[in-house]
Amino acid sequence: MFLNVFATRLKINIRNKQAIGWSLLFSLALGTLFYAAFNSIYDNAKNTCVRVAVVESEDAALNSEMLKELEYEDGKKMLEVVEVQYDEAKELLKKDEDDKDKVKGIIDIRNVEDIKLILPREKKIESAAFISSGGIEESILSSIVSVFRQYSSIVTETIKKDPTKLEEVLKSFEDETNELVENKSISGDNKDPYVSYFYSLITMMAMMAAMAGASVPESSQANQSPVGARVDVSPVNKSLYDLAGLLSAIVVQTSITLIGLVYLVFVLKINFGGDLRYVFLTSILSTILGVSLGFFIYQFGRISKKARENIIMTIILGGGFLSGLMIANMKTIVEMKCPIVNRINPSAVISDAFYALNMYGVGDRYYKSLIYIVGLTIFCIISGLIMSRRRSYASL
Amino acid sequence: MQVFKAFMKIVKSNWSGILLYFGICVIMTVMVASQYGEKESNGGFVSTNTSIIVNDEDNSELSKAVVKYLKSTQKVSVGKYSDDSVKDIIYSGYYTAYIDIPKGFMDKHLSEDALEISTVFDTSQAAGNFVSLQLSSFVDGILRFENAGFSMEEAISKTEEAVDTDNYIELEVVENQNRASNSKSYSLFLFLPYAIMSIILWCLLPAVLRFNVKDVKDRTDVSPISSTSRNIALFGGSCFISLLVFVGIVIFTGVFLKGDIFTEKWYLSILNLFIFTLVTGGMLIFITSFPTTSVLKGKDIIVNIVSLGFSFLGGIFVPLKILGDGVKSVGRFLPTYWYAVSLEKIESGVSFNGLLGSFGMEALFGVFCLAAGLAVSRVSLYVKDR
Repeated sequence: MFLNVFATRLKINIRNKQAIGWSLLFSLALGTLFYAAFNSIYDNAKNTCVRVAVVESEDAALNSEMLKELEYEDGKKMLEVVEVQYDEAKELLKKDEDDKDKVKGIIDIRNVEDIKLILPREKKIESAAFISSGGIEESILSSIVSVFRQYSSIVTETIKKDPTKLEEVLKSFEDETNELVENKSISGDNKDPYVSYFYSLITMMAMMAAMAGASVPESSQANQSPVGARVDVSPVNKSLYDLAGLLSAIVVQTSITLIGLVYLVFVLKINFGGDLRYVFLTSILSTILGVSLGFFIYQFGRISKKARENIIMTIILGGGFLSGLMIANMKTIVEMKCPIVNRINPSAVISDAFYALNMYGVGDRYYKSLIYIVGLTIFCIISGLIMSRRRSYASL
Repeated sequence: MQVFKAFMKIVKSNWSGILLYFGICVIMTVMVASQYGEKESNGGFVSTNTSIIVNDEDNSELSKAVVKYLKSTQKVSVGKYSDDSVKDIIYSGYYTAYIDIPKGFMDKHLSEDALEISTVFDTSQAAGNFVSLQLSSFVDGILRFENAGFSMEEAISKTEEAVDTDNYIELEVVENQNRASNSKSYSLFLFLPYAIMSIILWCLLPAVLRFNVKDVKDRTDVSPISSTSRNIALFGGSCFISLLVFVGIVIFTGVFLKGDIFTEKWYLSILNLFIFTLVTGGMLIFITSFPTTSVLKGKDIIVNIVSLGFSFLGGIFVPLKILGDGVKSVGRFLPTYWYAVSLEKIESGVSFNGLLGSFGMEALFGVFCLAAGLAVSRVSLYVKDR
C-alpha cells in the first residue's frame, strides 16, 4: 500500500510541470542574475595600487623613495609613484577617470615643513548631507601624508623647543619603535560576503518546497479538497498515506534543489566554501525541512486556505529577507539587534549552516544548525502526523 | 462597481505579502536614512567614512583620545564582541573593522612589553586597510612625539593637529570627477523601484489573473456586466492601487528626507518614480497576458524573479558604478537601469530637459510591455477562435 501511494503521489508531483518549471526557473534565473551582478564586486573592492604624483625638490630632506616602499597588510604595493613637476602633476590630476595616466592625488613635498596633498573635487558642491566626499583611494593618501606631516611637525617643534635635541630626535625616527597596532584578518574559505546571496537562494528554494509539502494534507483531508474527500472515505491508512506523500514530495523537491545547486557549483563555479559534500547534505536536509513545514502548517485545516498560504509566504519571504536574500548583511543586523530571531528563523539557520561550513568548517556551529534543521523537521512531521490522525468526516 | 469591489477584496486577501513588502521597504528606508548624519559639507575634504566597532577596555586618557579621533573620522559603535561574532560582523561587511584597546594599554605603551591595539578586518579589502592605516598613523604619531620628548598631552594635541586634513589637503576643481558619495535623497530613491515592483505586482497580479480564469471570465461574460465596464473596473482598480502604493511610498520617504523635499531634485525624483510606476503597470499587463493558470501557479516566483532580477541587474541594489560592463550591457534593456541612470543625472544637477532621454528609455520599456502584452492577448484569442 505504501509503495502504491508513494508511486501515485510521485507521479502527481512529477506531472506538476508548472510547479517544477517555476521552481527551477527561480533558482537558475536568480542564480545567473546574482552571478552576473556580484561576480566582480568583491575583487573590485580589494586593495588597489593608488597612482599618485609626487612633487619634490632636489634639496628636500624627504623624497618619494619612502612612498614607493609602502605596502598593504597582504603585501600588495600601496602606491604607484609618478615623479613630476607641479604643473604636469596638475595636468595628470585633471585627466579623465578612464585615462591610464590619471593620478588620484598630488603629494607636494617641496616644503618639508608644510607637506600638501592636492585632491580632485567635483565642480558642484552639494549643500545636502554627505556620507563622505573622498573615495577610499584619496582617503588612503590623506593618511599617508598625515604620517609625513607628523615627522616634519616633530622636527619643527623640536627645533622650536630645544634645537640641541634634534639629532637625537632624528635618530629616534630610524630606531625601531613599538608596534602599537596589531592587524588581524578574518579567516575563512571564501571571504567574499556576496556568496551569502547564493546561500539565501538555496535556502529560499528549500523553503519554497513547503508548497509541495502542503499538497499532502490538502490531498488527504476531506475539508481541503475533493481529492481529500475521496481519500478520506477510502480504506487507506492516513499516516501511511501522509508518509508516502511526504516522501514523494521530498524526492521531487530535493531533486529540484540539487539541480539548482549543481548549476551554481559546477556551471557558474560559485565557491560555497567548505566541504562540498556537506553543502549538498545541508541542501537536502533543508529541503526536507521545507517540505515538512508545509505539511505541518496545512494540517490546520480549519484555518482558511488563504490564511495558510499567507502564513507560508510570511515564513518563506519574511524569513528570506531576514536571512539576507535582499540585503546580504541583514542576518548580521538581526544578530546584533535581536539574536533570538536568527535562532528560530529556519531560513537564517539554514543560511548560517552554509556560512559556518565556509568560515569555520564542519564543527560545533555547523552541527548546531544541523541539529535545529533535523529537530524542526522531526517536530513538523510527527506533529503533522498526530494532527492528521482521526481527521475524518466525523471530526471535521 | 461589482467587479471593482471584488477586485479590491482579492487585493485585500493578499495582506501578508503587502505587509511583508512594505515592511521590507520600511526597514530598507530606515537603514539607508540611518547612514546619514546631520553633518553638512563645508566644501572641505571628508575622508571615507566606514562603520567600525571599538571596544575600549583601557578607558585611559590615551585610549579616550584614540576613540575620540576615530569617532571624528569613522562611524563608531562601541561594544564588546566574541571572536566568532567579530568574524561574522566583519565578513558580512556591515562593519569594516573591530578595534579592541586592551586594559593597561596606556600604562605600558612606552615600555618594552607594550600592549597592542588589536584591529580585525579583511586584510584584502581597501576599506579595512584604510581604517588600520588611519589608526596606526594616529597612535604611532603620539608615540613618536612622546619619544621626541613631548608630554602625552602635548603629543596627543600635536598629533591631532598633524592628522587634521583641513591643514594639508587642498582641493582642485576637476571636470568629470567621479562622485565618491551620494545625497540622502539619491540613496533613498534608489531602492524604491524594488518596493514599487514587488508591492504592485504582489497586489495586482493575483487579482487581475483571477478575473482572467476561464470560468470566472465566462460567468462574467454571461452576466449583465459588459466586458467594457469589466475592463474599466479592472483598469481603474489597478490604477487606484498603483497610485496608492506610489503616494504611500512618496509620503513615507518624505518623512525621512525632511528638509530635502519640495526642491527641484525632489520633484524630478518623484517624476522618475512615477514613470517607473507606470512602467510597472505595463509589466503587469504583459505578465497577465500569458495563460492564466500557469502564471497563477508561479506568481510568487514571478514576482521574486522580476523584482529581484531587475533590481540586481539595473543598479538598484548594487550601484551602477560597481556593476561589471557585461551586467550593464544587459541592464540597458531594463527600466531599472534607466531609472538609476536618471537618478544619477538628477543627483549631478541635470535639469528636466537633460533627463528626457533616460526618462524616455524608461517609459519605452513600459510601452513595449504594453504592446507585447496586447499582442500576446490578441494571438491567444486568435488561437482560441481557430
